[in-house]
Amino acid sequence: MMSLLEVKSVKKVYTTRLGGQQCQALSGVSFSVEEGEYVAIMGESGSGKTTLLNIIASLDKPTSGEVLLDGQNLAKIKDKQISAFRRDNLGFVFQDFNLLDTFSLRDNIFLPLVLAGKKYEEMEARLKPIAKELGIGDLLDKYPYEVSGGQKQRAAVARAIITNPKLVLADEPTGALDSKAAMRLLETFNKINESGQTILMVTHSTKAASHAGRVLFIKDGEVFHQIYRGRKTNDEMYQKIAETLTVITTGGDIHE
Amino acid sequence: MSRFFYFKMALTNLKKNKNTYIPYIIAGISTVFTFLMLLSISANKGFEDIRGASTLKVILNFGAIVVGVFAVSFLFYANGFLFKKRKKELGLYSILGLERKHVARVLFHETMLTALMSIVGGMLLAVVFGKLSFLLLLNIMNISSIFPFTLDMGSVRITVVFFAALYFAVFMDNVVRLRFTKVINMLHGEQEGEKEPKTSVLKAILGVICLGSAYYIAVTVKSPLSAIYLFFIAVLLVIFGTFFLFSAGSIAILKLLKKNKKFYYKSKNFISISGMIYRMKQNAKGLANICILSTMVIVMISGTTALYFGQESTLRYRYPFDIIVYNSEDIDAEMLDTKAASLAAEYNLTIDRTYDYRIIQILATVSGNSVIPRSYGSMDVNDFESLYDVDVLTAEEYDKMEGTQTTLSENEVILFLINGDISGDTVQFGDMTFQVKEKLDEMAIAQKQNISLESCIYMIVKDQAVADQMKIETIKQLGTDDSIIERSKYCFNLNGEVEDKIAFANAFNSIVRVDGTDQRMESLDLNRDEWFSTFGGLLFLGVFLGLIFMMATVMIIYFKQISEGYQDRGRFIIMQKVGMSRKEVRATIQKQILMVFFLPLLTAFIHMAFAFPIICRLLVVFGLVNTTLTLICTLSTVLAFAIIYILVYSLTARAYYKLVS
Repeated sequence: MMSLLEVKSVKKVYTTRLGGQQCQALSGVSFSVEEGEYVAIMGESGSGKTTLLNIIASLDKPTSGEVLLDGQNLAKIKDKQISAFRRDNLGFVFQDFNLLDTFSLRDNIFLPLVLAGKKYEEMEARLKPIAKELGIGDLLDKYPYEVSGGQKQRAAVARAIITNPKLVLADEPTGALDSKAAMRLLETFNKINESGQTILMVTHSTKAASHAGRVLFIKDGEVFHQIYRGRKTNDEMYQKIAETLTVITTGGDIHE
Repeated sequence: MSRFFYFKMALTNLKKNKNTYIPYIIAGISTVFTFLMLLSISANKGFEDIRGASTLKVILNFGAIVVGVFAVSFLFYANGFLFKKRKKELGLYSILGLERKHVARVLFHETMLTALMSIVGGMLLAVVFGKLSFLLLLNIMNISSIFPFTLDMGSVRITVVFFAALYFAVFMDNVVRLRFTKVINMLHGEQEGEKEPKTSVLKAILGVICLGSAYYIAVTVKSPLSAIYLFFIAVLLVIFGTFFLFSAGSIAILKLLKKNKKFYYKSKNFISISGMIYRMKQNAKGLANICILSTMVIVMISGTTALYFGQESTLRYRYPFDIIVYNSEDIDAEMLDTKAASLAAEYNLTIDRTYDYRIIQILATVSGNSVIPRSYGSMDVNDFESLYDVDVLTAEEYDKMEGTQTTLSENEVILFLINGDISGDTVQFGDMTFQVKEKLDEMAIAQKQNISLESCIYMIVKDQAVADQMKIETIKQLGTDDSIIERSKYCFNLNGEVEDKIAFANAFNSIVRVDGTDQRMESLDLNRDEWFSTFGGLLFLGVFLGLIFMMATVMIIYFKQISEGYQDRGRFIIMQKVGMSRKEVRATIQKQILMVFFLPLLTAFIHMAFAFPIICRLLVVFGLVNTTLTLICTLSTVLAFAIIYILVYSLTARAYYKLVS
């Protein structure tokens, strides 16, 4: 059976504006994500994880290699359809929430559905269970500046999953949250993952990654290592990730 | 050393913010230029020999005052905008260790530099273009004698002092703003206060009431005299109404749209409506300003051009004949006939025929078919609408002038109304009752008008005895004869060249003046210059003020586009991330700015449409009764304005797109 997401030897080379020097951000990344998985990608600043996420999000194109989402090659989608494709298949959660301050939380969540031309009744019907699950049912009529960071991020999650996307992409979702709100958000991610949602999260927070089912480590533009949860608890997972990170930063190799 | 440091810093700041400071300085330069030109021209010695130039002086000085008031409000508005936009930058200075007083010093140098550039620039412009605009004025005033344009030193002094003081006040405003803003708020810059506006029902209702009553006044006003004071009331109502409606009414409407879920949650309405609600709060004032300025520009330019191009018909309205002689006693018409004929031959002119008649004029108000004599003291503004000039002629005088044979009995009357109508078969004059024998459609000495400054009824009665009876009735009613004027008129038209007519009028004037009588003469051609200089001056001022208000409008639009561009940028990046294509984003932007910027223009046009009737009546006060001409002038002004507006909009929209994408 085919994986939901397949990343095949993706390379990305940037040419610097001055002097035309080449800079390799990704030097051959390959991995795949199965349906229903919860994968975290870890790496230090400059390791290429944001570039990778942008390519998977079809915001950027790889220099070579290909990305298949549900068997469809992202590079082959026409420019005209790319926005609609992104809207229908991907959900995004960003570090800085990216909620529009002109909209109430409800309207922020509805935005992708409105763009897709859905009926109001359907939107309401979809929102109800999601809002309940995320605990933002009472906040829907508030505006982003009236609620806390954690609440904003949960609204952003609701916006990401309300389209029933094949894949939710999260870019440092806990980055702007205090530890309590971060915990709550991670629990939320686990909850929606348990209900079948595939999640791909980029983070450099060990805590955040320890909630995932699998952690990929990227170093110098390559997948350096990965850890499966198996039967590990979150704490054991945390331990394991921390050890791996120590090895990466001290520059050693990993022997299992 | 440190002094130089502040100066340098100020200079760098201006350069860095050049896309807002250049327009600001241009606005300053053109305001200074206009102010100085108006003062300087009105002080020109050359005008002292020109007829009617004293009116011009008053007009131009009035214009300078208007520009002065405008300069105060506009510079403060623009400065407030610039300050808001630079908050972040100023906040950063505080972080970097500059104290408030240091920042104030930087601001002082900046304001000084802007003031210097604006004042000096304005003066240079006056030196370069002063002569040109002066020649333009002389030309539209029909002044053939060329005298030189000089930059009046007194006016220069006033300009420098006024604008230096104004810019200093602007600087003080900045210092106060600086004092009352916390550094932390400054760092957040433009983002503060992003709350959704509350709907103020009261404001919206007030707006509707203000505008409604202004429109009602403008449309229903009948008499030109009451139009004068009602116009000012209507203007004030429109200004308040526009502000109320833009700030509250627009939001109320948008919220209503938002409540309609089916409509609101459509991709093409969703973003625009919420964006506009958000925008209206910040923009209501600015948009109302744009709307009011636009209306003013259109009213001013269409009014003054109509007056200017309607000069000849205005003159003819004011002076129905080329030469009119008045005398409270009888006029020796035969003597004047011979003198006029020989004089006309001398100046190569011909006279078709002359009219002489004696007339009793009684001031009265008319209600229904009842004419009630009134004294000047007993009237108030409410009577203007029904005020009439009753001109009583005897049948004998009438027949002499028309060559008819009229027989009337004592209680019969023939009516001629310049405008309006009296219905019914009878007319009351005080306690006297007349049977209306006939209503005339034309008369040699007067013409029918759609609207005229004073309503006028000619009542042709049997003989002098009846006319005297009417005088007695008037005195009986009022207890005084101060509203009765009885006099003889002698008038005729001349055919020939204008120069000859002027020469004739001057020569005839000395014949008309007879010792021991109050006999005097009015000549259309002798008065033409005065009228030309008045209307020419008004047109000149109208165009000048129109241009400067236009500039202010442009500036506000530009500032808005820029500041919104910065704010919207982030919003549109988010939308793209959430799954909107560039094209969709662009279409949304376009729709939003289009609606926001064409709302004021549309409203200005609606204002103008309702203002048209009252403007026509106002122009009648100046003697312009040609409504068609006014309509043509208004429509062309509206068209020209719309074209310029669209041009400005598309240019600034480009700046906006550049910022957003």
